[in-house]
Amino acid sequence: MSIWQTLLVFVGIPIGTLALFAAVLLGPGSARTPRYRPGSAWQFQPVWYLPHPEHSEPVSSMQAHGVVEAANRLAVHGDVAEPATASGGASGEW
Amino acid sequence: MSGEAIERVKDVPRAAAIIADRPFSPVQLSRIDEALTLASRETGLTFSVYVGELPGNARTTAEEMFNKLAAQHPAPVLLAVSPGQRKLEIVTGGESARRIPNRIGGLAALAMRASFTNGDITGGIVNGLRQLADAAGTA
Repeated sequence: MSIWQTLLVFVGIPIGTLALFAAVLLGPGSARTPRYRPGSAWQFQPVWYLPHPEHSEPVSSMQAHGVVEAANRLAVHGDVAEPATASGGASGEW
Repeated sequence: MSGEAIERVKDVPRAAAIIADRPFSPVQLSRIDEALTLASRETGLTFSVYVGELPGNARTTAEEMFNKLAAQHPAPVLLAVSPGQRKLEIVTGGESARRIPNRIGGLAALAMRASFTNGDITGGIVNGLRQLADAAGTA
């Protein structure tokens, strides 16, 4: 066996095996969203979620069929005539 | 993935240092999405979840956000969570205030705190939504 073959077998194979294990063990963890721990900073963009609208059909197609629902939905999703003001709720800290 | 279909409201205050765009994994997002949609459908109220910094006075900021929401959606309920400041605000008003008494809001906040203390933001939000929806009853 030449010096290169010896190096390949006794150094290359162990390093290759270790690299494979490292990739399998560390790979998925680094791709995952980091877990929140109380007291740590929150370094994400703010997000604000609303529920899905109840009907997936566009209002225009509902109106074409003369559906009452369309009118209701326009009322619901347009500007609210008398918007509620914040008057209750609760606060908390952890 | 159903999470992507959740509406994102653009004009929200921005945190100072932002390293990542997505605070939730797709699985977590779909849990929040499901809880949010079910709660709103059952009750007829518009539940909304905000996760991010609440600059200035957290309560005042949350109430301002609620008023913005109320201008476009009837009977809104806002759950605002700021994990960085360890603060949570539940805001109701109008019809939602009539149907969700402050005592119930306080209980939901307590349940959410328990999850947040364990580092489970998603679980806390889902539990809070369920409790508030159960209390509000069907429309």
